[in-house]
Amino acid sequence: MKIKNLYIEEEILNNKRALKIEKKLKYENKIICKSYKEIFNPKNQNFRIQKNEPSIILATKKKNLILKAPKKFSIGLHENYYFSHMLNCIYDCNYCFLQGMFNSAHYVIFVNYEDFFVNIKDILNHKSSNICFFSGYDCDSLALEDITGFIDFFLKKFIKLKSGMLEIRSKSTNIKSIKKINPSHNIIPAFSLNPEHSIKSHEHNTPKLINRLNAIKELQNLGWNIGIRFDPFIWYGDLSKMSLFFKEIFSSVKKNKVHSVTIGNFRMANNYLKQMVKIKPTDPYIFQKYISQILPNTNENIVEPRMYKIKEKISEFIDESKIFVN
Amino acid sequence: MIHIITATNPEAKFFINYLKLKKINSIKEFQIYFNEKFSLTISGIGKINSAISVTTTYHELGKIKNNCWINIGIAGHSSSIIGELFIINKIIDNTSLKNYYPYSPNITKISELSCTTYDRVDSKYNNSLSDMELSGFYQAANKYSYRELIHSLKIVSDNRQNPFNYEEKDKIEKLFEAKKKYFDIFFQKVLKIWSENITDQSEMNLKIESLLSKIKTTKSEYEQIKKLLKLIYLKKKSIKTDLFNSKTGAKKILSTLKKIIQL
Repeated sequence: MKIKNLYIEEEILNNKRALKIEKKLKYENKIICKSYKEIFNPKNQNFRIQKNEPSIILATKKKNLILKAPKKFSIGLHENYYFSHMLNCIYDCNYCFLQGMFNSAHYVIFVNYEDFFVNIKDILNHKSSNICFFSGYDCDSLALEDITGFIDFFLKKFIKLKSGMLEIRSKSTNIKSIKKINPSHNIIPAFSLNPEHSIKSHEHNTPKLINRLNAIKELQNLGWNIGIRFDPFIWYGDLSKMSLFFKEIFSSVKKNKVHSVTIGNFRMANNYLKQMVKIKPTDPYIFQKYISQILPNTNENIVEPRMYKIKEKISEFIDESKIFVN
Repeated sequence: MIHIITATNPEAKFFINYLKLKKINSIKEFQIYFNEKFSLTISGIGKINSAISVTTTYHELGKIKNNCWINIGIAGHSSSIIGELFIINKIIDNTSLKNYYPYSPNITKISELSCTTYDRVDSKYNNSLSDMELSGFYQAANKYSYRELIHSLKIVSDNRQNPFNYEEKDKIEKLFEAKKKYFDIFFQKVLKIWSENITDQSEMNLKIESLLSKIKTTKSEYEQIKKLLKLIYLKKKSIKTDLFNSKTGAKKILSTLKKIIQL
């Protein structure tokens, strides 16, 4: 992978994993910093400009490694947590909340993978109920796997745990690390799907729908249960044709090997949307979402019932108990 | 527009001539020169002077946010050869010990290096370039522009073997002239990033203001109609301008606009 600058925290200059990642990168300048926050956090940065040529920052995450997921964020388990070994993503989805949440588009890779696992083990030791951990909330779990090796490291550890479930959410078709291990009931590779025309207009640089479906089929054939994520689900045009789209999806995968299906709409805190409008002032999609949130009585405010209609349509193909509206 | 800030006259001279800049005689605090695309301000030595010069330039030249700002000047280094040009990728304030990381505009033909800003002349020399303005310039410019549009270029004027000689000020202009080609490349790249990412919406805003001036609204209706009109223009939808007349109520206009964009 070719980048302009590699930033690295001074305390991990000799860290084995940082050195391993560094070897996989072609960069022009190595710049030493005290903390990734010096580069990532300052205000008045332009996410969009950085997104054209992002750099990589190697760092350690010291606090808040595993966080409680929002209440509705669930695939059936009572308690839900999320974590991200990276901040930001190589893809460029125009609905992505990261561009409103983060000041910088540089990729931060946290190299202290062991600490993520220790934190998960701690949570499992102190809780009685079944718990789900979602990977890839602030990044894509698999997209930079060839550089980070995080999933390769993590799956080998997680598979040995007796309780707890891990969801690896991605749009990537880079499934090598998952294929390396035997299928496990407590690990759910999950793929975000949308109609191809929505992928083309909104999910820039991401794999095509057909390639994502092929990755799902490949893993199912190896025995994996897969999560299917329509989140956010972006549909244009005739609602009556929506069933045809779901028919196409569920006829090409093994239904008995679908762990769960989640549906979500475009949702974003107003301050994130405001920031996105600031850096992308001429994007009609973002501006429409923004004014729909601030203007009273717009159709877009009535999203919940629409989500339940989509659920109805999906339940024609998959047992309703496996479908979750997030 | 690119705002260039230099500390001294000898550092400015080449750019004033090369870019054919004209002096604004009405401004007394600083010497400010300009043309259509560039301005150049001579700040005087030191980070406070540099910061004040940025603020003055911003206010004197129309208070336009998100223009490009470039600090250009000479700097010392332990071993780099005199005349070598660098893009600064890390700024270290030697007093506050705060670090700043300017965005790299990805120009492979110019090397990058860090620069330490000192309060007094540094004669010790080390592997970071040394100057007396950059941290002040950077903090001030970041009040008015995105970090990705704020840069610094430094030319090595002295090193351990050739300490700075105040008698040789005439040579400074030649150091800059010798790198003319690289300044051109740099300015082009910076202007490209700026024009691709900073959108001038003044034409659209004028159209919207003109329509709004024809109707009576409450403050809230005014803001709602303004936003809806902007979305209509962004979506390239057509709109009947005769809708905007003193007889049509704001509520009717609001509902019509919402229908146009199916909100």
